[in-house]
Amino acid sequence: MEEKLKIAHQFILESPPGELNDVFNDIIVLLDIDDYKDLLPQFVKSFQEYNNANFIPVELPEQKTKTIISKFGMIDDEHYLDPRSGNSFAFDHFHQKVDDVQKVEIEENDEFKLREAVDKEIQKYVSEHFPEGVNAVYYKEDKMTIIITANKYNPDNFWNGRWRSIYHVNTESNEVTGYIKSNVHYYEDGNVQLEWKKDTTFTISKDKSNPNDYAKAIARGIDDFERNAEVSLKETYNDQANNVLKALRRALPVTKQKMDWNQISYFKLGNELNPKSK
Amino acid sequence: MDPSEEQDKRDKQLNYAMDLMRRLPPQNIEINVANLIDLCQDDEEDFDDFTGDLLSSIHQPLIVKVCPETNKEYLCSDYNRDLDSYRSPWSNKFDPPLQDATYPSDQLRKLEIQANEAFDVYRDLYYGGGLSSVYMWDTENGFAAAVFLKKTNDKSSNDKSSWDSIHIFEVENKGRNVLYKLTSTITLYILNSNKDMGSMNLSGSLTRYTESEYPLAHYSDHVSNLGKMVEGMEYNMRNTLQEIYFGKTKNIVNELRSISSLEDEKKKMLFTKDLMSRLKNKN
Repeated sequence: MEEKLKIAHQFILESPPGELNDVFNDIIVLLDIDDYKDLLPQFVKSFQEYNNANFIPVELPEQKTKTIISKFGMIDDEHYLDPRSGNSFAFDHFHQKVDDVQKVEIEENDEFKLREAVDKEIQKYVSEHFPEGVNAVYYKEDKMTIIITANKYNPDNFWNGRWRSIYHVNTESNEVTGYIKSNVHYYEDGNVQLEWKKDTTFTISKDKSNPNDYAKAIARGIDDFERNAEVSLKETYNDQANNVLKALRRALPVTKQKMDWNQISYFKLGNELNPKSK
Repeated sequence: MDPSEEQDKRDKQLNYAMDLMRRLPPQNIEINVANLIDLCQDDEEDFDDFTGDLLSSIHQPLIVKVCPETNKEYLCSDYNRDLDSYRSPWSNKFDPPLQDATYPSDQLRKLEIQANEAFDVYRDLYYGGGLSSVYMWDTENGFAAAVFLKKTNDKSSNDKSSWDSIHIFEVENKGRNVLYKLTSTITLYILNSNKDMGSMNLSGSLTRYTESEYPLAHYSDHVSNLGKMVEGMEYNMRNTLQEIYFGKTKNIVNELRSISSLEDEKKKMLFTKDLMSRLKNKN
């Protein structure tokens, strides 16, 4: 059983966007267990790892904007921080439910102001380009982490998609490192998936003493990087659309004529099997 | 559990296994199939019918082997496998050699040789390279055939692509006519990386089904009937692959993050709407 649960864990982590429950249901039937109550703690761990890695957006009661599940927002094994509203909450990874929302005491110091300024600029950028975008900005001891996530689930038309990007800003050296990861799953009578990843490193040429300018510079840097990356992806796509299939299998033979199968079977090969047709 | 209940359970599990494989990344299909078998198997010793069903239902990339007899390459999958040996379409021999193996009947083997020659011409016309192999086996009311085509294009380690066609025919005699049932799966792998775009892996497979009934004047007409159906199917599926790989998945990324600002998109839409209604009023 232990070996099987390891495989189950691996499969859960590989679930495409929006299909965690489908994958889990399949696994339960394949494991052939009537009651998985005893195994629940193990599955919860797998779900937690999945939710943390995939930056799952969650809604807190009475909040206008969503926040994100990620290890950067973890307070303890069960609690997360919503940095924008300054609330902590318990998250039930298995049922994807929020509970025990509590106000966290935060001092309104320079760190607080810088985080808020960056969050505001990133939020503005996200609302300009991501129809379903959610972002969170965490800041502690010169280390700022910015996460952007967007999901579109369309199971009725057999496709789902996810965008994740994350940036670590060192507010001492003003260096930013980060990446975009995007996954698309198309599964009508098939299974086609895109895995795309693009890394970046850049430097902010502003000083954090002016939080608004600094925040704008970070947002602009991310905007530039993400736009260029997506335009390059589109160019690669267009290039491939013209070349890849053509180099593997032509739409028609060079002669522009379909193959003459009758000729082949009668003249080249037919004689042995059809002696009368000689 | 009585045998029919056991069978129902296995059927149900096979459905769920297929659903799972339709969701897990095609990029990891080989390791995922191995893990799936371990997940479902009760006893490590027995290679039961269920594992066999799984292996014949899930199409993994075709393996290339060299026929020791003719030194020619051929394509392998579960359909030309018996235990740990694969049958070469060129020599009709199993490698490693196998006692008590099942071979096609003499007449069918002749047809198999013809089909291999015909599909070799087809391969050259459409693929200008690559490999093809055709396998046939006798069934109760006719025969079955597997037509494989594969081409790999490894330009460099950052630019690779590969195409695998797996066409499975069930051929049934129906009086004067013959019914051909064709299930086709095409697997397409595309790996690319460059400095501006980063790295992308766009991979997976599509499956389609069709059937046709043809009269049969000569036994060898089977080859042209199989050939025309494969040709038509690959033509249609190639168009679908083009649309899904390079249209659909690209558009979904743009739906996640719009390259132009959402404000501009909205204005464009309103403008178009406005224009349309003006044109309508004019008419």
